[in-house]
Amino acid sequence: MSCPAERRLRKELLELLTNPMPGIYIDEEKVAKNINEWIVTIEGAEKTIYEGETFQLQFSFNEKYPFDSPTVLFIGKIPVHSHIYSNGHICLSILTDDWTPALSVGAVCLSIRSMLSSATKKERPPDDMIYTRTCSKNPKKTKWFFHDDTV
Amino acid sequence: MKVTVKSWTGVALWKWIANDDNCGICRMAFEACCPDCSFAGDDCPLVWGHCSHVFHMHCICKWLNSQLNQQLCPMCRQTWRFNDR
Amino acid sequence: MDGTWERLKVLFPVISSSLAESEVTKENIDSIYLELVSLGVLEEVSQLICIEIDKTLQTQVVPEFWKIFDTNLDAQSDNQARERCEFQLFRTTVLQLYKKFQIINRMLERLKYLYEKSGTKFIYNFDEIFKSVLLSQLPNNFTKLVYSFYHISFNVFINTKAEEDDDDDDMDQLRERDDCDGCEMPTARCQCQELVTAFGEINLCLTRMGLLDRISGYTLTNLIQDEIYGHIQKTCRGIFDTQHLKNLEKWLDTIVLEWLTRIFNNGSAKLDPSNLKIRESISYFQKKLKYLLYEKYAKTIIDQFFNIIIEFPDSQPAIDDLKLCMEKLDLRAHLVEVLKNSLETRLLHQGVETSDIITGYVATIKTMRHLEKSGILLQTVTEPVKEYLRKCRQDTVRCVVTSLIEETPSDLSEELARSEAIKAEENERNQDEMNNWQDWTPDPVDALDSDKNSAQNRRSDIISMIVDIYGSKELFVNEYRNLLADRLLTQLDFNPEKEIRNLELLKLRFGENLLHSCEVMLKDISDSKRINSHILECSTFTSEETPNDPAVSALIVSSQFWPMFKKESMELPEEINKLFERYKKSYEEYKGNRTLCWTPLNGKVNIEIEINDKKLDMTVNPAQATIIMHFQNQKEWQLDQLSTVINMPPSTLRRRIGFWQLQGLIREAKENTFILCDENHDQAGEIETETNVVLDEEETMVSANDQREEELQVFWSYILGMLTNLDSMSLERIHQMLKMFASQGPGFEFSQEELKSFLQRKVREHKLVYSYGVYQLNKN
Repeated sequence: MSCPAERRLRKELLELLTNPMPGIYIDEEKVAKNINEWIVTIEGAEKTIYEGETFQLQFSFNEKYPFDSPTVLFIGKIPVHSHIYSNGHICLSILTDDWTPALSVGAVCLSIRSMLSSATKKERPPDDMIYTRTCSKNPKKTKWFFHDDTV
Repeated sequence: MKVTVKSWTGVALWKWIANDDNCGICRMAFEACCPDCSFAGDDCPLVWGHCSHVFHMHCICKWLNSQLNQQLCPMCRQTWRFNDR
Repeated sequence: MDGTWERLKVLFPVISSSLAESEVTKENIDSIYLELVSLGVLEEVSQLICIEIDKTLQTQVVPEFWKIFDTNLDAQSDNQARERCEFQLFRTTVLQLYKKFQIINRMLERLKYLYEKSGTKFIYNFDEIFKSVLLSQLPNNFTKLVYSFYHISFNVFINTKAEEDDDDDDMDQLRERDDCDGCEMPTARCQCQELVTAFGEINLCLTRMGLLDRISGYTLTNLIQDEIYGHIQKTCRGIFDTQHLKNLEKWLDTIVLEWLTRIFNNGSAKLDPSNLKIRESISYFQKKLKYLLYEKYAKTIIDQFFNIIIEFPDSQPAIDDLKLCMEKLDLRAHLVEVLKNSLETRLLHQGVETSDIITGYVATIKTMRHLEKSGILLQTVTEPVKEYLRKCRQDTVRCVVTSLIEETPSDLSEELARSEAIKAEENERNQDEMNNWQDWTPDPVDALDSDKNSAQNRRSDIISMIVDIYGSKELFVNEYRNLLADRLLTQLDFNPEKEIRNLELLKLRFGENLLHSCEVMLKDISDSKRINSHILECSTFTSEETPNDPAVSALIVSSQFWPMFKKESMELPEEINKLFERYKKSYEEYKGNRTLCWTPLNGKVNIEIEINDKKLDMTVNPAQATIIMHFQNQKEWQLDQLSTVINMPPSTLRRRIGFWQLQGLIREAKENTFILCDENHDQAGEIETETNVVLDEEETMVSANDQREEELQVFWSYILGMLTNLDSMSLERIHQMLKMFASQGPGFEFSQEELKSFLQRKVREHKLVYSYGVYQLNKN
């Protein structure tokens, strides 16, 4: 049988597919090929500054999941947001320090979607230039200083 | 007519007395076992925290062991303390 | 001039359209020569004679010869007598023809003499003309007489041969028979000698006229074919436990060949080594006939293949023979066609029980394995069987599982017992294959394309082949789990050691993971026993005990690992409820943080019923016990009244009361009113007195079908989600997606076919739209 991480991911996938969350779509086919790499499409919520836009998130899981957090970043068109760097990295505490195994793909998507929804201005983080030039490819390696816990 | 019951064999499902159905960590039913076990029940018991959250013992221990600094409940992020019920 | 013509007529009667011969001397010829030369008409006369010969051949000799062949003797009632007449007719007509042939030849001799005397070369190829005129008038049906002629002589020959070969011991017995062994005529009127003489004579005539091959060749081939076929039918049909091929070849090489040699070699069986031409044609014939023998024999075996399958392994020699034949002939397509057909007509119809179809399928596997190691023919011929089982027999898996684990040995249970040996063999073979890669042989070309990669698969054991019917181990194991659950919950005398042994064997076949649930189930049984004895001794339980309490025990199951239980409820009798409550409390105390949920309808109850001075000792299910217990204190019940008290739907309750009606304990006095039949009532005498009535069978588990339905509902919500997301998907894509969840539990596995019929159902229900090969949600 598959390892515990894959079993949990399958369970999550099944749950998300039987009870889809509004504005969040899974690329099942990609997931079917490799359960450890998910592509999730997020729709900007209505009546927010991202209404009508769609973005893609890439989730990568290792065998320690859910004890270890997934690596999550935006790919393709990166939303302009004060916690999202132009290379797709996201400054969100639950993705690193505040991760717990009770979280899930759905919960992460929900957080990111509400992070987008609560923005009032489309702007990049102030340190975007420096960060994107110096950071590791893996956002989990960044020692984040979380700008603003309210967002 | 007199009916005398000599023996009655019943069938019962055993259940954990817990305020949830699934383990928040592995997402398996409490009556099933954690992914590392083969048998549920005695072999894969549940534990309760002071925060009232319940997990498979193996699951929460694995989580707590992976934490370097704080020992937090995965559900409510309060400091985890075992509740010996 | 007139005199000359008359004298010429004596020498050449043909010029007056006659073949009547008179005495002729050399002087007669010499004088006619002088006469013709002096008249100066030698050349003209000679040409006239040739023309007359042609004409006589055309208009007399040949038509007369063929006319005999038109004789219709079919009216003859006795076949043998008809053949004898035909034999004689053929003999006579050939002899007559030969006589005329000789007369004409003698005339031509004289003509040639005349020519040569005049110093001219005589060019007239009579043999060729004769043949061509004869054959140009060949009637369609001429072979019938020829056939009879050779048939009779062949019989005489064979019968005489057989007699020669017979042991001396039998001689006396044979002598006493009334009929001759050769010609089958009464001994006193034996015609053997006559027939043999005639046979030699006619063959010689035909050879001399150069007609043997043209007139007899074709018929001979046919006759020998028939004889070979007849001989095979006579000696081999229905006898599969010995190899026949060697004997058949010997028969062909000695008897048939000797007879043929006699025909071509002027009646003698001894062939002059220098006679190359005859030797050549005989050996050509021999090759052709051997091929024919193989073909006829192989086809005879193939025609009986279904019986061979049924009799396997006793019929192994027949398969060995067929194998030898198939090395020389390509009969694969024929075999596949015939076998597919006979499997279909004899196995795949309503009248045959599923278990018998499976037995037939297993026998086919065994037989075909013996015939062909690669398993390609097997794959092809059994495809319809698999499809039929898959589509038309829902109880296939159940039958297979039952026969795998049943007490009486069956093909499959024996095969299961061999599991360990097979595993070892497999490993060894894999090892061998790696070591002997040089010996690899490609698959025959008729291997189905889809199988090209599964050589390993095809060679796998019978159990795997059976499971292969469904293409899924998971489905098979799921059914096993259901059956096991049924047995564990209802059977009184289940044997844990045997179940564990079976499970271990199945694990070898299907892997630990798939059978994990079953393992838990068996562990639940043994754990329950332990918990039971603990609880029955602990003070919480015993303190409230009264002497009249029935012995109570529980089977405590791990719900996640068992098939779904029916959600039906029932109010247990008060005293039992109390006992169960006490039991539950003790359990909670014992296990801490865990409790029990009783499933009131499951289990078994041993009750004693005292009625009309009789005692009945019965084992019944909880529902039946509960019902009869309610009649103890109240003898008459309205259906809905009891239905409310027991908390059971009226229709179900009625069905269950039926059990007691059959026992003669309860009757329906008027509609929906049930009364106990005790001494005050008329039917009291008819109570069943037999003790230990068998527990009536009621499904304790949600049936496999209902469960499937529930699982499909889970999928339905998933498919809905998927189609909302992706708009349209093909069957293959949906199936591929669903397969990903196979590891979530046994129920998640299903075949593309099953999915298709499920989706088609949704199309019929207007939930989906199917067009251009993709499914879409029906948005209307």
